[in-house]
Amino acid sequence: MGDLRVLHYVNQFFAGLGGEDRADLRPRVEPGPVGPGRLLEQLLGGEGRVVATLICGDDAFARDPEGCLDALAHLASSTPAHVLVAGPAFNAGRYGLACGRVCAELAPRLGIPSVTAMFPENPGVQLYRRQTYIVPAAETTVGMRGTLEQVAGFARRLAGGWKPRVPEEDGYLPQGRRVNVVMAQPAAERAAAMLVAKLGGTPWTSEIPPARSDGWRAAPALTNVGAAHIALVTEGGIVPRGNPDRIESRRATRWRKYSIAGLDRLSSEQYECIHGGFDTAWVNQDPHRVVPLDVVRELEADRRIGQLDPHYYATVGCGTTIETARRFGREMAEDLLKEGVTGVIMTAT
Amino acid sequence: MKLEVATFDVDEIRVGRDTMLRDGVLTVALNDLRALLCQDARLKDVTIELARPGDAVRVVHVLDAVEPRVKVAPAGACFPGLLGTMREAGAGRTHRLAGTAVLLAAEMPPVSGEVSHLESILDMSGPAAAYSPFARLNNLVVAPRFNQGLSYLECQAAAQQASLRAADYLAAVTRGRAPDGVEAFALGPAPGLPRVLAATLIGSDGLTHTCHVCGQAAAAMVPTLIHPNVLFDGGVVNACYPFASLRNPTYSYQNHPPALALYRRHGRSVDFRGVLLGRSIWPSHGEKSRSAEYLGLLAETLGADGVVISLDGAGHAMSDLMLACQACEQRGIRTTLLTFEMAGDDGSDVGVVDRAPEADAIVSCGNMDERITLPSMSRVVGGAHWLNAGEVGFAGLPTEAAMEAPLRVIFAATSQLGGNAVGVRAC
Repeated sequence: MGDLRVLHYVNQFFAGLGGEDRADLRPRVEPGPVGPGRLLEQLLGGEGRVVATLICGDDAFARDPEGCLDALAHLASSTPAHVLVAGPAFNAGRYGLACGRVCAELAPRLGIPSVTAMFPENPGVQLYRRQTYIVPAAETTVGMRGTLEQVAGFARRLAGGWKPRVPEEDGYLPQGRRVNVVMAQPAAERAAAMLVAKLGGTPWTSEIPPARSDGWRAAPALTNVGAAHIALVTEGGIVPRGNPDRIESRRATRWRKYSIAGLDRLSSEQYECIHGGFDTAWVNQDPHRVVPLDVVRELEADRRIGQLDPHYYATVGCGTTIETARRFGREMAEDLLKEGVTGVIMTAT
Repeated sequence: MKLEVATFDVDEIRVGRDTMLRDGVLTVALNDLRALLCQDARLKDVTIELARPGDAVRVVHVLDAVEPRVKVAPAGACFPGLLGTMREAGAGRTHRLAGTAVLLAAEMPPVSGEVSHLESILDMSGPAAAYSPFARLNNLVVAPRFNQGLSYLECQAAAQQASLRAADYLAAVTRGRAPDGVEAFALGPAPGLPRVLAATLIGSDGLTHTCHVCGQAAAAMVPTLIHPNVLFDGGVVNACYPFASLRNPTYSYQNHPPALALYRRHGRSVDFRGVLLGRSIWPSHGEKSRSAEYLGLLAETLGADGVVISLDGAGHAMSDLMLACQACEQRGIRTTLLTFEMAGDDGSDVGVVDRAPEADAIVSCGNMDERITLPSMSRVVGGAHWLNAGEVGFAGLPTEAAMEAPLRVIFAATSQLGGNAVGVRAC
């Protein structure tokens, strides 16, 4: 037999230990293949073995994924392997989530690549498709042999150092990544052809797909602004001179809040603009052009707002990735709410 | 208005005693050209070097690329308003050297604020060469250095003049010679076919982002119509320097890819009516909206059925692009858009920062965040150290070193006029 060593993960059902009644099974390991692992081993065609099978109940995993992963890592540690295979999970939701997470988190801990298989609509796909490879499977176990054939081949290649790149050709579900390629025609040619198709009523496919709507809803308006606790927030990159927290001018990865307690003005001696996306000469001359502290203090004195928060929140919004921006928003909102802020004036550039 | 563009192919570029073109070999007398360019009192000196396809050469501080072109009928120069005049522009006969470019490489004086120059690299071999079309050209690198005490604008003007004059000097070898090919450009009637335009939004923001339209800076421009033949004669000269890969070099305006794509379909599948130019990176929503609506109105006035719209610049410019798309689509004018993506290192982020619901036909010029590996090079041309090294993690590395870098530092790799075949695949 060849020397490819495969570690296999299955749930309680595919391990033959029971159905829903045993879904609380805690992690355990069996030597060699179990359940579908036997067919998987066969399909490796003499090039390798399933050296061990990790088993965990779907409910046990769902309730305590970190504990189970720790236990599984411990159980796997004495059986080195070249690649981890999980499932196939078909359209079983909890099983798919477990397979995905085991691949995403256990395999890196063991230092090996991973592959799983599930029905494209399994919730495990959206969550884990980027962190492992998910071979498309049928909805039910009717597709077991065909899926395991694909998985066996995939696992063998992964163990050999293969880096899959093209979902349609390499046989895995798209990972939601966009990869540069050199195309047959220059972009302008493609744009002209697309326009002719659009005008002629023939089908075309946009190279950048329609945006997913986030479905954000604005919070209800403040009913009594004169009593509100307002904070100033900006992505305009106004920071204390010297940028003590080293917020990046482009693709920022952090935000900070700075005290303005007792301050009526932001002086250009003490504050600077580090935003990398525009000519900051005007703003460095007068930081109020981005953070209007002077005017808001007047509003506070005139009781047009209740109070101004003693901190302003700052980052740089230049080439910020959407994921990072979402994180900033969530973290800032949490902090603002903790401080009792009910309304924000956000200045953007 | 008919323009004949006569092409002279350059297969190889060499240094020699006299400047001439023979059997596809362009020989350049570097000292003669240097002496010509140094007549400009603003320049302290000019270094001129070759960068040929396949060389283990890295060109740094690349600002612009210019295709050598000259007017032979009427006799004169291209680049109206900067070198030539409006009288010669857009008609008659123009000679071009194909397969070659003047690359302008210079370290510009620092400007206030953070929009200082970003490094811009062109490797003539290795993985990066596949991404930039200029790696496949026989390049003459013109690297001016400026005298002390000049303002940014004075340096920028001097650098621009040096590149245009070098392009003119090279193209002059073709005067009186028979070309390898001629293409005639005229927009005759094309009844019954959909009327289409190309629209390009020119980036303008502060000193480091602008273009010159027939010599006029784009900052205060109202959208306008320009005949594509005038573009081919150098009607737009680039001085807009966003991330290196996004740049639309002068070369790309001279060979305006959307205009050429539509011109070559004129009379067959479209009735091409011209090119609209507008400004992008307007600072306020009011200004963005006004300019976009004006562009839509202009397209409607011209009776357009469809427009290919491209942008210049980065995130802000994308908003201008989407507003222009909306302004056209809401007037019943269909659009396709050209844009870069910033989808993150691993391509998993959303690549566009703004969308209009009407933007349903978008061509991608590539993800500028994707990382590539640059091998070490034997020779570095155009500068001796990195610009803004910290920005992309080059600090401490010699300029010829091997390194990993995001695609956005490679000159014109994701150029948004769409002359590059780089695109994106969903994986």
